[in-house]
Amino acid sequence: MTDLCSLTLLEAAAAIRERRVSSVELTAACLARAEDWQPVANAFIAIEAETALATAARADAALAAGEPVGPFHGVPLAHKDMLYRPGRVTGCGSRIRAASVESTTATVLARLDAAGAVDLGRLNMSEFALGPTGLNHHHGRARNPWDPAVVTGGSSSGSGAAVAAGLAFGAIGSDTGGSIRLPAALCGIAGLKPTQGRVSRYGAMPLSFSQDCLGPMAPTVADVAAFYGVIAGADPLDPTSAAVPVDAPAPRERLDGVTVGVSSGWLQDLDAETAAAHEEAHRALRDLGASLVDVQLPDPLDLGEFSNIVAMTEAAAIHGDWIRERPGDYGPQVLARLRQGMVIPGALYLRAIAMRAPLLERVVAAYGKADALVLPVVPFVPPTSADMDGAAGAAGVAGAAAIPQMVAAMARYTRPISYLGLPSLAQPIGRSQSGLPIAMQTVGRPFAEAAILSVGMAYEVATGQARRALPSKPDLAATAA
Amino acid sequence: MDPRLIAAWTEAMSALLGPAGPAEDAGLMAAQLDRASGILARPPVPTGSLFEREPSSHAAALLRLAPGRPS
Repeated sequence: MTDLCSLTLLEAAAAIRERRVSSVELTAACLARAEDWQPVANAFIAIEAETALATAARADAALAAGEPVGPFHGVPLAHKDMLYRPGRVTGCGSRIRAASVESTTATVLARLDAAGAVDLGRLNMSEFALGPTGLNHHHGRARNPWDPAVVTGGSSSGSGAAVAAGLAFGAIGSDTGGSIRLPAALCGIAGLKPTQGRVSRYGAMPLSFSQDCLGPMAPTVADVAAFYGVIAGADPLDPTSAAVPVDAPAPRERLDGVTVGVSSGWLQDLDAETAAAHEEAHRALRDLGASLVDVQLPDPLDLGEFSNIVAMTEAAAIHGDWIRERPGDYGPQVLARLRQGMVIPGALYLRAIAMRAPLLERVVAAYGKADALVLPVVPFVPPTSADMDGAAGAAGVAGAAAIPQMVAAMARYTRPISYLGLPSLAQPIGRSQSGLPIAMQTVGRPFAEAAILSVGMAYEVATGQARRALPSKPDLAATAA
Repeated sequence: MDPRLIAAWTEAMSALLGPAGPAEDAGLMAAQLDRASGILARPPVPTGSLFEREPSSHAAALLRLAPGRPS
């Protein structure tokens, strides 16, 4: 019998719609698997089994009664612990908000509810979405299902781990400097950071109002495209959402006539295995008929630093009261970053804000005829938590100085895209010799999500590069060793 | 530096950021100096003059630069 949890999101939705499996069966399978994987992956902060099974039972009854059903009818999904539901806790991966009960429904959750999805619960995340590795001082870090010593990437760490391990058929993440793309890349799944303003942020915890985006994470690019279609679009509850029509990506077998930009300046610091995977991905795109052209982009370090200045200043501003009054309730790394944000000069922040539009114009002009850019997500194979968080976790001067360097290393190629506000799709392109995922990001013009999803789907179908199935239960003995 | 200035600065930082130990404060400033020296060591990013740039023009630029939109 097929392992139900190895289905993709679209396969699961079709199986329910065609009554080959019930929502209760799928939900129960996900819940059982989540319990088995939780000691290893630590993907969930709260598994809401009772509520999920009740929702699934209602979905099955509605289908049996012939009622109209949405595209994700009865499909179990999960969400990062930063989206609000009335009467329910949204903890933001923190101690400070651990018992915070909300009174509104996040628009993305309302849209998933309307599409018929079943919500399995709240997923682990970096505290207050602040951290590119997935470190969480209060709940413990989510661990990469491919190797628990390895970082999941953050801040949507539980979302990446849960989808990779088959604990949910998709998950909502958020991305301010890479927080969807990093865990998608490091866990071997697909994830989309939409254009700034494309997906409503109403009812979502803020981190940096200039750069925060919500987006889908799922087993395949085709899943992400469908997920995006459900949650994207203007929202009167979010004044920053854009009233731009949402186009569905066109499925295509070939990429003839498509021009893809690559930037040699953004490929110079890759390790050997990552570089080889990107060369192979470029070859596959050419084989599909795409024309590859070199595009000269600004130095990612400059764009990344501007992104960091904006994000840290805005985050510090909204955390200012708690920084003073409850410093002991933050994890040390998060507190150190927030304190650093409090003393960034105001003129530097405003300069970084003012430079966004001209730099966006410059980058879009550099596209030339390119329909999309393909870039790395991270310059190395997924690193261990000890490598990334060890030095940055040290006390005092050494630790504080190590944090910006660690963040810059992890988010070197993701923060610049957040700063520009462009849409970006992360998807797998290969594996390291040790079996860890390697990914690329495809970056589009503003609001051209359909174009990059179309390229990503064609690449996915042609190469077969998508989420690989993991066993239904983790190998606890190997993990302990 | 005049010790009175250091004391006043320390007091202002504590009021702004909450009390922390000397190691944390030193770490904070080390990170800021590292950031500042990194920015100063790099060539300026050419953006054209920001003198008359509306700082909040980014959202409008995204809309204007979307494919199919009138430029």
